[in-house]
Amino acid sequence: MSSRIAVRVEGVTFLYDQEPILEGIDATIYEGEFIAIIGPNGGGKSTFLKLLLGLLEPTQGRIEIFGLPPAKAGGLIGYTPQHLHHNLEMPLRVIDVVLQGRLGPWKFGFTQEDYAIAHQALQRLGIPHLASQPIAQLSGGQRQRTLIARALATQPKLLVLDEPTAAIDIQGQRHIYQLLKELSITRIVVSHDIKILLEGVDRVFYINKELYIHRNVSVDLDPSGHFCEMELLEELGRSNG
Amino acid sequence: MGEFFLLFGDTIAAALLLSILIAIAGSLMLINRSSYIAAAIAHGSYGGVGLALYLGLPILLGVGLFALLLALLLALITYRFPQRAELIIGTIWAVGMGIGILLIHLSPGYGADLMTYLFGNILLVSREDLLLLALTDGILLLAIAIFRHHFITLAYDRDFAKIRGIWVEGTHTLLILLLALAIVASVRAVGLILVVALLSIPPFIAERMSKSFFQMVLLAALFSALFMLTGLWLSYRFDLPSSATIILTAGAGFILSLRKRP
Repeated sequence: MSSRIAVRVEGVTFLYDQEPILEGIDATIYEGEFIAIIGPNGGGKSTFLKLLLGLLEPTQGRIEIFGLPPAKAGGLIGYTPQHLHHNLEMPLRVIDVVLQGRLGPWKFGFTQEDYAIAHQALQRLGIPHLASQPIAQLSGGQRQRTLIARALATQPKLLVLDEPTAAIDIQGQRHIYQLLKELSITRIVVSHDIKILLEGVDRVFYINKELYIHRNVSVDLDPSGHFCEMELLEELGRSNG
Repeated sequence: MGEFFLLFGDTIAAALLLSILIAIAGSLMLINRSSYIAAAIAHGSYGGVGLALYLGLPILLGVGLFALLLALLLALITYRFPQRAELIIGTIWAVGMGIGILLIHLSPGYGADLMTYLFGNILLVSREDLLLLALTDGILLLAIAIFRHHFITLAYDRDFAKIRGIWVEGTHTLLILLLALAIVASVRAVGLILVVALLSIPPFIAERMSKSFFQMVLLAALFSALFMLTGLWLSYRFDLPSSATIILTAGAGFILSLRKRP
């Protein structure tokens, strides 16, 4: 981890219909950090993400991604949306979806290099054999891996994943967390799955309208391997650690 | 059969040119789920028929101007207010037709068959119509040659396209303009109402059998050529209205395609 700043969020408030969704958010994320964003549904996690991605504009405050406003920083960000349910019947192969990561405003076709990068991304996700599979025939987990491969194919400096393991079985989850651990770029992962805290994250952002930042969250597993998510979440929402 | 081809040379040429138009515009329409927008442009453009008759302009010019205006308006509305879009689209659709009916009523001495503009007549296409169809095919081919990846990415995941720096509003508008162009070019041959069915059916059948967008467009062109030529032949053989036989052939193809689903 370096001390160079990847993401700077200053005094960000976001109102929707006069209703505050996020309030007074300040955060700095350093290059190479692995950040987990957790919090209750409707607490503003997705809104925070959309602000970072430049899909929404803050009502107040300022965001910089590697010194750029988010709307201009898209080329540096690899993004995986929450499981796409629609458009499953579109006639696309897995490789076509991953190649979307190579597209740009003035780029209208793909080079040999783009194909090589896309295939490499599929390799990393462990699904090179699915390259010419139509997306209509994928399982939920395979689809999610395809979308993560697409994010990696953008060769990002910042990887933003929204619930990357939601549709994936335990085995697949382990694989994806392992991959995230191996990457050295800045990573921001939104998860409703508290297990992510066990997966080598550097800091935890708990978002519930306001932001609570925690370092070294200790998750105490009792001998049966069970811990109470509710208690932990409440704890995270109380103190600024 | 030979006589059929000799007698209807221009009509068959129109059918083949239309197949390319339908395949490209229809496939783009389908993957973007914008058939409602296409239908609104097609029906609303009836206002252009009225405008042309009222002002004594060529019909195609009236329809073209009206379709262009509606396309820009619809592009803006569906982009800016997606959650209210359906309601506004329905309004535009109805208001356009209302303007058409009113202006035609006010036009002096007009008695011709308005069904021609709603259903077209592929047997009456002129050389100019063929030229317009060929030109439109050329524009559509050029557009997907350049922008296909942008259109596809936009259709699949709009947020991702935006983050990649693609000009989403521009691409969205271009797509709707292309739909409007396709509709205007086919008014004389298939009419404002039939065109929406023809834009929908062949690409729909093709999509379910295709692995890629390219395949989808190719198959859609083959299906629309098949439906139109079969429909024309039935019309010739049994002396029936061609627009009806074409659309019923396409409808039959649609039902058959639903049956054999893997």
